[in-house]
Amino acid sequence: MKYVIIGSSAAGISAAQNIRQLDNDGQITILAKDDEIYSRCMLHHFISGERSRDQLRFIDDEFMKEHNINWEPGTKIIEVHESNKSIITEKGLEIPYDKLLIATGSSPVIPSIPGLRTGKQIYTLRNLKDAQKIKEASRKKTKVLVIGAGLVGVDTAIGLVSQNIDVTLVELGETILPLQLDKTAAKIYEDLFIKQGINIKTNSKVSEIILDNDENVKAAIINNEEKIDVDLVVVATGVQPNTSLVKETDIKVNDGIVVDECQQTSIKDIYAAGDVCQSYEVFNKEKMLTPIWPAAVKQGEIAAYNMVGIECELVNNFAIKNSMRFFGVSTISYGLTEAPDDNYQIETQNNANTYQKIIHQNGIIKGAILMGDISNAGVIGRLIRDEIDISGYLNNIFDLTYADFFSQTKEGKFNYNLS
Amino acid sequence: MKRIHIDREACKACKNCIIACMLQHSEAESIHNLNLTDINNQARNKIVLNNNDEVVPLFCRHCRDSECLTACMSGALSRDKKTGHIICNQKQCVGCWMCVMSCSYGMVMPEKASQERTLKCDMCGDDQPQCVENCPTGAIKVIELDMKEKVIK
Repeated sequence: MKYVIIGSSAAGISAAQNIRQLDNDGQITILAKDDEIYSRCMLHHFISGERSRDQLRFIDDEFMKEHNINWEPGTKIIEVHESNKSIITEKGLEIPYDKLLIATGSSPVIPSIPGLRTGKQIYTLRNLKDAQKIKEASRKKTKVLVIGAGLVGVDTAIGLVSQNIDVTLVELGETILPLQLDKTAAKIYEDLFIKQGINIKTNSKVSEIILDNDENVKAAIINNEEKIDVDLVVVATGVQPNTSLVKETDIKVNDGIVVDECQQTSIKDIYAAGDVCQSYEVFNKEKMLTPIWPAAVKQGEIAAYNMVGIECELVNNFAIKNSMRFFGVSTISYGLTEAPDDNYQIETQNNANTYQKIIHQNGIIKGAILMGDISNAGVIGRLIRDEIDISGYLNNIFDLTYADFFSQTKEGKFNYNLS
Repeated sequence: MKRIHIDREACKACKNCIIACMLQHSEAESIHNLNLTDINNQARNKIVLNNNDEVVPLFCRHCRDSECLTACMSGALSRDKKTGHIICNQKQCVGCWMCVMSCSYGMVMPEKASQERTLKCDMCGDDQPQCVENCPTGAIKVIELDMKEKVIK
């Protein structure tokens, strides 16, 4: 059996590892645009200098050898030929497969702001090469503009400010991290970031990047009025799935490549996993992009089982969750961050070092933000994922632990006791 | 694979298991010079009261279908090939907390002293875990699981 995997990040590596566990003899090839294996989630630690390039790896050096994988780095795939069961590399090479996994991830979107697509010192942070370029450029440049205060933008801003670089973080929304936090939690971080030297402009839009005659970045215009001097821009305004390689095929694509519960696309023997795919999400109860690391690993594993012929379905695909740690303050959030209307109850708890909020409806938790103390967060996450009724526990909702749901099989496996 | 089985009703909350865990992972030579108030001496196990005020001792499962391992983006968590246990290499951990976010039982926790690395049960290498060794009531015991039969989802 010839297994071909496109992409060498969370989903691709997870799939390869699982295929090898299940099929000792199959031929596994991983092709990837990247030149090496690294965790994208750690790139900001490279910019800040906390991690070397080698320390960004999330698998052993011997992984490919140990798993007998044919690893082809620096190989971009431009087309899938479903009728020939082959894929085409950028250099025109045709590679046949019996089972194909598309785990090509996603790429940053550059908004159409004048100057942003033509300026020389405009970067995104997605690949190791991006991180290297930003790190290199920031050695010479001193004034950086980060557009977008999602997780990538915030991570980038922190990575740079720790290098004594002047950083301005601009966000369209009312607060930073608008998808991950409510306004209260976001404000706590904003105050902290300002104290650490990051300039924050929320409710703000970059109207233009001003370039000189050689297209070097000189300044940015914010909200059509304010001009700030910058010489380097990092764009962190979101990503979109890398689906261009299937555009000539009959593979169904909406926001991403649509997959079934077995991670199979609409074409037999072609699977997709990770950021590139759109899968059934249990919290929203619809097929959507689930671009977080844990989901990608699990989807890669499910794809692997089905690719070797063991039918199994993805369950508990809960990806509306985030964890973060900025300047020593940790937060985990799940589901809703604000109540959509009056039909929800909101509980909050504040003290010097923590802010905790739980949104529930008819005994079911619909969202939580746990800032400061995150030690029992996973329990809340499970209660949300499985829609477990906690009506009997509302008096001590912030003290819930697994002890309240303890149940154990004779093999010592934990379950949630709902009696 | 060895796993700690819990007999909840036999637990008297004497906390010997907690102190044994602290001692095992501390620099102290014996319980006599173990500083119980030093946050560097953090236990990996817990005894928690449930909603009915009953005592529940909790220990990591080293789950076969482990959410913490799936969530780890740094390569810090791995399953030991010999023992099957999930071990945290703290040097590789970046404290992203995705494992904490993913453990349904709250048994993967931030290290209190640093607040920047994950801490979890390591089953004391592959010897008899010290918590079990020091339990006077038999509330916890080590059972052997067959790791060969992989659970198919």
